Amino acid sequence: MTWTIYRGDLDSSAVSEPLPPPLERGLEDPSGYVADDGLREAVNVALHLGRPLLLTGPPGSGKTQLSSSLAWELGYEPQLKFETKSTSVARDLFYTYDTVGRFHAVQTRQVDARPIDFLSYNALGLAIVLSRTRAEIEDLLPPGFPAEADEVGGALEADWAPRRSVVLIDEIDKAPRDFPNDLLNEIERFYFRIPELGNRILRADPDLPPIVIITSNSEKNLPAAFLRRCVFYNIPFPRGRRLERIVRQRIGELGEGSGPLLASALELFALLRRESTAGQPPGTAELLDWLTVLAKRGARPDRSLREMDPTLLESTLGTLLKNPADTLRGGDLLERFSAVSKSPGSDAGPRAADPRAAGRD
Amino acid sequence: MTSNPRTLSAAFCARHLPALVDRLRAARYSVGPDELVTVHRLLTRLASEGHGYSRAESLARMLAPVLCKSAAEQRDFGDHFEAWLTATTRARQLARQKAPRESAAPTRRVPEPAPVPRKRVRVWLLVAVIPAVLGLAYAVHWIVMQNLPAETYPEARARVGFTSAGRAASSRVELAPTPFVWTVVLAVGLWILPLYFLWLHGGWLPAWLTRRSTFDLPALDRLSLSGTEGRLGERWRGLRHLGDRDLHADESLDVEETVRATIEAGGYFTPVHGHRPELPEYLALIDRRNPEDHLARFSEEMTRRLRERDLVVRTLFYSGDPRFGAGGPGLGYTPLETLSHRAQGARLLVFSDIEPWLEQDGEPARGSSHLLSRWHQRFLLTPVPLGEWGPRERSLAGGSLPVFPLDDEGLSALAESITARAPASLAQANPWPGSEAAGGPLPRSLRQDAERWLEETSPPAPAVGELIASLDDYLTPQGMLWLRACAAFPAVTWSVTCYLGRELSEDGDRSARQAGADPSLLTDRLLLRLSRLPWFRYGRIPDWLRLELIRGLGRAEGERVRRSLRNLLVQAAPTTELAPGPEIAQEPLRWGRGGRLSRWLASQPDASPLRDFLFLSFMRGSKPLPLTLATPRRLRAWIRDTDRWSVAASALLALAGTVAVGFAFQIANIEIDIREVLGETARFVPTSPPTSFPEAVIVLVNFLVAFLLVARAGQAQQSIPVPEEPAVPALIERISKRRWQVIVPPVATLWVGFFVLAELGGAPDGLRWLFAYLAAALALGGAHLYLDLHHSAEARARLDGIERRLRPNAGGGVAREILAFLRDPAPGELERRALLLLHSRIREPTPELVAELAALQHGCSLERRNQHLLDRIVRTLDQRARDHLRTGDPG
Repeated sequence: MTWTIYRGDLDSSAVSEPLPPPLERGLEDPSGYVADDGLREAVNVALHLGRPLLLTGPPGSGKTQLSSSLAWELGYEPQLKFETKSTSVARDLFYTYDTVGRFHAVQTRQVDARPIDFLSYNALGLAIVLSRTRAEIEDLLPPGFPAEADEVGGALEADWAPRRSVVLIDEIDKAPRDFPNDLLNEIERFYFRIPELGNRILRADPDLPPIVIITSNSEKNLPAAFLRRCVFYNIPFPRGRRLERIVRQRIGELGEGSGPLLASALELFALLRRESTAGQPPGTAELLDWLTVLAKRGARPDRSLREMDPTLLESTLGTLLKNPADTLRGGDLLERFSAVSKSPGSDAGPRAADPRAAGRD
Repeated sequence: MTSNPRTLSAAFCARHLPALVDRLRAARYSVGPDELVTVHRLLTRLASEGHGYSRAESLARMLAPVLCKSAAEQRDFGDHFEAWLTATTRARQLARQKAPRESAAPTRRVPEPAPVPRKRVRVWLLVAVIPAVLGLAYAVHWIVMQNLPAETYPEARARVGFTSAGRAASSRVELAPTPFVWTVVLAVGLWILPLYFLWLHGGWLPAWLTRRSTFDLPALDRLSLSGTEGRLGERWRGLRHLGDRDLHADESLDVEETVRATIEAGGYFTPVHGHRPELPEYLALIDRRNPEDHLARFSEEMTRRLRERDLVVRTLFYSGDPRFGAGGPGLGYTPLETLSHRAQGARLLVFSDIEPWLEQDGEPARGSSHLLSRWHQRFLLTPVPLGEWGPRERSLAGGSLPVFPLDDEGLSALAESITARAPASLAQANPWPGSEAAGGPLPRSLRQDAERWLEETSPPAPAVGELIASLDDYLTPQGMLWLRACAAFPAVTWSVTCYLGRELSEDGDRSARQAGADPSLLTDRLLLRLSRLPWFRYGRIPDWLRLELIRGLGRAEGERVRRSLRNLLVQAAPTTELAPGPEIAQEPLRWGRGGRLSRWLASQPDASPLRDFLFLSFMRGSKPLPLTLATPRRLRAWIRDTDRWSVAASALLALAGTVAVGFAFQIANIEIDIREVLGETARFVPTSPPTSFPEAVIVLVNFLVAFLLVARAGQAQQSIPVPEEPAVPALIERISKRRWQVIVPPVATLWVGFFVLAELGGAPDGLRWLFAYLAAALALGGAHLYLDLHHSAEARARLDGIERRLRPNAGGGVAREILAFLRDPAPGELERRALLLLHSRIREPTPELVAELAALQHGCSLERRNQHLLDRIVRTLDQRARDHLRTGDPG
C-alpha cells in the first residue's frame, strides 16, 4: 500500500485497492499509559477515599485515557464511559427511559410489556447494578441484561459476580450547570431513583462502590459543592523525560534506537509549541499522531528529522499546527529548526541533544 | 519525625495540619472542615497500614488532590506546603533545643521566649569590650611602669589617641610616671571615634523598606487586601433576578401533557416535549483600559456576584474596541466571531462606555453592533446613570443594542426585559424615582478630554481650581475625602481604593454608627462615581493633582487618612498592642550626607521606595512641599560624571576631606598644653609641632588612616548584594555583612598595639607602621573602590531613573515599591511575617506559636526597629500563653 491514496486528478479508475485501515496511534492501549507522580498519588487518594477523581488539563494530556488505564490495571475492564453532552441531565448518567416506546406499547396494547422493558442503564447506573448480585436486583433488570447493555456487551456472564467498575464521566463541563449540581448526593452515596418504576432506589454495594473518573476541559467553572466532593488533579503537560517516555511507550518502533529521530522530533515539537500563537498549543495526542504519520512517511528511527525532505516534513505539520497563523509560519519554523543543525560543530543544537528540552516551552 | 527533615510522620502531619489549613485559607483556598477531616482520614489510613512515615514530597502530592480545587491552587500548593513545613520544622527544632531545660522542671510551664541570639551576641560583645579595654590599659600601664628607665624619659610625642614612633629627641625632660587613670582615659578615648562612626552607620539608620530573604513566603496581598471591596452589589435586586432560571425545551416527553394531548387527539399519539428550568449562562465583555481600571474591576465584581449565584459567567476583557477580540486569564485573545460560536447561547453583557458603540455623528456604530448581533440576548451596561443620559445614550438605547445603566435599577430593568422576553428600551425613560444620587454629573471637562487631566504637566492654576470645584460638586464631600485619601497613596489600585473607602467614614457620622449603620464611604454608588474618573480608569493620578488634593485635606481628615494608610502598611494587625505603628515610611536620606547618599544610591532597587515625597511628607504629617525638587549638587555630579575616573576622583575628594579633618584634629591638639593642666606629674607631654616633615606626615596619616578605616567600613555596607558577585573576596563579603564583628577587632588591635609599642619606647620605625596602616587602608579602601566600580554601571542606571523622576517632580517610585512590598511573594519584611502569624494564629497563642515566632526572629536578619517589634509580639504572646495555661481560659 502506497502513501498516496487520493490523487485529486479526477481519475477514479486508478483506485483499485481497498482503503487501508486507519493508523493506530496506540493511545487506546491502556498498558502504555504513563502517569506522573502527582496523578498516581491523586488516583490513590481517590481510591482510598472512595471519591470521584476530577481531572483537568490541556487537551491531549491523557485525562480520558487514565480511566481505561486504571480499569486495565485493576482488572475492572471494560471501563464504563459516559460522554457528556450539552443537553445531558443527571438522570442520563444512570439510565435512559424510552418514554415513546412505553407510550407505543400502551397504545398498541402490548399486555406483556413491563415498565422495566423500556429502561436501559448507562455508565454509573450500570456500575451500581454490577456491584449487586443478580438475585438482589432481578426485578430491576431489563430483559437480556447484561448482554444487551452496550458498554459491557458480552463481557459479563448472565449471572455475574458483583464487582467494582471504573466509570468515566468525560468532559463534564459540556453539560448544563445543573448537571453537576444534581449529582451531588448520587456520586457521594452511589444511588439513584427510578421514578418510572415507582421511585425504586438502586444503591451500590457499600463494599464495591464504583470508581469514578471525571474529566473537564475547564471551559466552565464547576460548582464549589461539587468540587468539594471530588479529589482534584490538574494534569500538567508532560515535560522532558516523561514526554519521551510516553512517546516510547506509545510508539514503540520509534523508541528503539531512536536517538536521532525522537530527539529531533521532540526538539521540533518544543519549538512549535513555543512559537504557537494558538490558544492551545499542540499536545501529546497531536505529537503521537504526528510521529505516527512520520513513521508512515518513511522516517527512520536512526535518522534525524533534519535529514528528511523538508517538503515532506512540512506536509506532516498539519497534525500539529491547527491555527491558520501557525500553519503559515510552519515553513519558517522548519527553516529555523534546520538552521540549527547547519551551524558548525553542532549536529542538532544544544536543545536537540537533550530530549528533556522538548517539554520546556 | 525522623532525623531526616524531609521525612514526616503521619502523626506529625496530623498534629500540625491546622496550620497548613490556616495557611491555605489565608491564600484563599476553599478548604473547610470537610477537607480537614478527609486529610485526617487519609493520614490515619496511612498510619494504620504501616506507612507511618513518608517523604515530604510524597505527602504534598497526596494532600494536594484533596486540598486543591483548581489548577492554579495545585500549582501554588507546593510553595505553601514548603513554607508550612519549614515553619513547623523550625519551631519543632527550637522546641527540642529547649526541651532539656524544660524537662528539669517538675511542673508544666510555658517555655521562655526564645533568646535573641544575634542581639545577645552584640550586647555581650559590647559588655566584653569595656573590661577588655580597661584590662588592656592596665596591662599597658603595668608593662610601661616595669620597663621605663628610672631616671629619664625621652620626650614622648603623645597625641590624643596616637603616638608616632618613639624616636629619641635631642632634648630630654624629667617626667614622673603617668597615673593609671590617664592610661585608661587615653585607651578608652581611642574608641570614641570608631564608636561614633559605628553608631552613626549602624545604629542611627531609620527603618526603611529593605528586602531581605526569608524562609517564609507569605502572600499577604491575598491575606490583608483581599476582600477590601466588601460586598459590592450584594443587595442589588437586579443581580438576583439575572440568576432566575430559564425554561428550555427538552428532548424528553412531558408525560402528563403527552397523555392529555393524546386523549384530546382521540387516541392518536401526540407527543409533547417537556421543558426544564436551566440556569442562564453569561458572557461578560468588560472594557478595561488598564489593569487597575476601577470601572472594569467594578464590573468584574458584578460578574463575580453572578457567579456566586452558581451561574456560569465567562468574563473577558477588551480595550477600547471589542472588534479586535477579547481575552481573559488562561483563555488567550479570542476574536469576537470565535466567541460568538463558542458562547452563542449565552447572554452577552457588555460593560462599557457608550462611545465605542457610536459613530462620529452620534449614530450607533453598525460594525460593532453587527458583530454583537450573533448573540440573541445582548445588553450594554454603561456606568452613566439614567439621570445623566443625553441624546447619545438615548440614541443607542433605541438601537439594536439595548443599553442599561450599571446600577441596581438598571439591572432590574434588564432582568425584567429578559423575563418579559421583550426588548426594553430606556430611550425615553425618566430617571427612576429616588435614584438621583447626591452630586452632580461627571464634569464636562473630564468627559470630553479625559487624557488632558492625566498629563504630568500641571494645567494652569485656574483650570486646576475649576477642576477641584467641579470634582467637589460631582463627588460630594464624602467622595472628595475618598479621592483625597487615594491621592495620598502613591498608586491608584482597586484594593487600596476599596480599603480606604471601607476604613474612612464621614465626619460627624456618629448617629449612623450608633444606629448600627455602616458609615464607611464604600458604597456601590459612590465607588461607581469614583471609578468613572479618568484617573481611576487609567490607574494613575498625576502628582500635581495629588498635591492639590492632599492640600485640601483638613487636619483631622488628614490624620484619619494617615492612620488608615499606616494600618494598611502594617496590614491591620488585630490589636493595637501588637501593632505598633509602622516605621517604614521614614525618609531614609538627608541629602547633605554624602556617604549615606552614595551608599543608599548603590543599594536601592530600581523602583526605590520612599522616593515619593508627597507620600512621605504626608505620612510624616508635614505640609506637602512643592513638587519641583532641585537635584542635589552631589547627585548632579554623580550623574554627570559617569566614567570610572570620576568615581576615583570622588574617592580622592573624600580622602582630601578626611585629611582636612585630621589636620583640624591635630591642630586642636597642639593648642592644648596638657602640662598646664596636669602639672609636672603628667606622664605625657603636650603635642608639639612636628620637628620634621616626615614626622608631620606620620602624625597626620595616623589620624587619617584611622578615620578612613572606620568611615570606609561603614560605607562598605553598599556591597551587600555580593552573592551575585562571585569575584568579590570572601573577606569583603564578611566585612560588608558583619562590619561590627569584623571591623572593630582589627581596628582596635591596631590602635592598641600601636599605642603599646609607642609607649614602650622601643617601637620600630614609624614609617613601618605607616606602611602597615596604609596597607590595611588600601586593602579595605581598594576593595571598596572595586565594588564601587563594579556597581557603578548599575548605580548610574538607577541614578538616571532617579534624575528623570526628579526633573519634573518627585513622585513615582514609591507606588511600585510599596505594592511590591505588599505583593512580592518573597519580601522578607518582618511586619508581613508577623502579621501572617498574627492573622492566622493570634487566637491560639500556644507555646508552639511562641517558638515559631522565635524561630522567625532567630532566622532572619532584621533591622533594629523590626526586631523591637517582634520582641514585643513574642513577649505579648508569651504572656498570653502563660495566662492561658494558668487560667485554662482558651480565649
